[in-house]
Amino acid sequence: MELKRDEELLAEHLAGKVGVFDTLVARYMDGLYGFFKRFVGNATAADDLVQETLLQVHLAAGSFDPSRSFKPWLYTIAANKGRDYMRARGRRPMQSLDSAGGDSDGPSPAAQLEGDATTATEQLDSREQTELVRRMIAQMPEHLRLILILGYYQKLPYAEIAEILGIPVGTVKSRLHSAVNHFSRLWLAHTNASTSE
Amino acid sequence: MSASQEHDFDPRLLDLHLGHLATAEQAELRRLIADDPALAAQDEALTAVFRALASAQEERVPDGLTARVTARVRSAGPPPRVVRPTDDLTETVEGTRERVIRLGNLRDIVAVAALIVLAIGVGVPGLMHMRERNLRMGCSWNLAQLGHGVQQYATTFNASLPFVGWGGQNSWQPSNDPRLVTIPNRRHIYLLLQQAYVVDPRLFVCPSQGGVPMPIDAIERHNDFIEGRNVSYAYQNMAGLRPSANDNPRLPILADENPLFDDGLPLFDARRLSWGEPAQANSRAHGGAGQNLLTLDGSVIWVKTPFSGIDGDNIWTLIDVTEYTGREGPASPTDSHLLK
Repeated sequence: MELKRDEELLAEHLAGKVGVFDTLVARYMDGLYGFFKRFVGNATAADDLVQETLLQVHLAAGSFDPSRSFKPWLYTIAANKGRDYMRARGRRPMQSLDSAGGDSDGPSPAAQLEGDATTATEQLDSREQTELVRRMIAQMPEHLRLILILGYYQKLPYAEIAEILGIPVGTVKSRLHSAVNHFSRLWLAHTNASTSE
Repeated sequence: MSASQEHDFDPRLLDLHLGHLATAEQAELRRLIADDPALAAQDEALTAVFRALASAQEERVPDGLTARVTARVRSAGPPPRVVRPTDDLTETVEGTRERVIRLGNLRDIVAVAALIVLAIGVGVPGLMHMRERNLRMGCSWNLAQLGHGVQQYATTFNASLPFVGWGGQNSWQPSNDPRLVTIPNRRHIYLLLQQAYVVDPRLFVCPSQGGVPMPIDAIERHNDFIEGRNVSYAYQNMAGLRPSANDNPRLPILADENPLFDDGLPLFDARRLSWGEPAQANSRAHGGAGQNLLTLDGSVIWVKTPFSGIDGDNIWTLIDVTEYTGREGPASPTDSHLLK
């Protein structure tokens, strides 16, 4: 059976059909939770923000323009909720990173290629590595963290990210590149430091 | 591309790992990687970076979250209906609004008339003072937002401030010399708007000056503000020694318009200016009373003299320069020269 499009489900929900909103919730629950968990770096806050976002979608369903795509609209609401949350708590990241390499002015990723990143990476327990990556992402500047999550983890196309953030497609591309380079600097600085120890 | 970007990963490799290359482009790049050891080394390092990113791919949704969302949505009731322009209700609503507006106009007229009488009789100077204070606060808010944009830009580009490039054949002053290419200093700060570090063009216009914001739909098609009145603020001269975000945090980088220059052309001979006379020495933006100043650390301050740079440096002039041809720039990291 062919799955109904998000826009159709929202229209049916607006028309009063029972249960269709649950389908939308199930469809986006994983993605939204992952988005907030990475963006605000805190599970409890992510839980609240998912609820706030989907409630907002429900309350604003009547204002949704059916000629547009649902997903960018959903993530526009989510990004605004996330930014409001960060603003309310002074934009301080929830997780801190004690290791070196947080400085944007450090050596560039390409300049650090001489270090053997793979060896150090292998030394890390996989759970430790996951936790380290999460903390590094939480430490990134907000605008770079946001675009890395949307572009890499949410796998949204450039055009949809441009719509969500209200910036040109070219800027999305260059900013996503900057975000990956920024993370690389953090990661390679850490792995090189681990190798030299 | 700024110099700070030159050593980052090859953008084609980033697109490859982000999955944004077509099959043919991927094959071509794989061939280049096989032939180029430097590119291969970058590819290997980038593979490790993306492997690390992928390790944090999974985020387990807390138990019961779906049920909590569903419960909240149900308790909120049905989604509110939005009245669309085609609805029958519109005529009634608009008719009512029209009547309200008419009534409102009458009230406005009475209120305005009363205010005018009160203002003339009691406090024109006070109101003017309040208005100017509000305008200064609006201007200060603008500069704070631009400062936020500058800091975001610097974070992205390895501490570099907005900079479009500069070479021996460039001039920030319009010139008749065919060998010179003019780069108005304001072009550097236009990058904030062009690359969406600042999305509201109204922030570039000081409310005291009555400029015209850059049209939003024209931003992407241009590399510079269309006209001088699209930007009120003077930016650090980027023709010489360029500051980075790591330099002295008290270095002024943006301020109200420089009174000595109009779009890069000198209005007065700096040597003949009475620097002790505030009306001459300060920006015209706030009637010569002073100017708002943004420093490198993002602070905005109101100063009543142009000698507000580091160690009392004059923010409108370059040290040891008396005649400007449009090719001069700061020779010291503490020398501010703010112009459009």
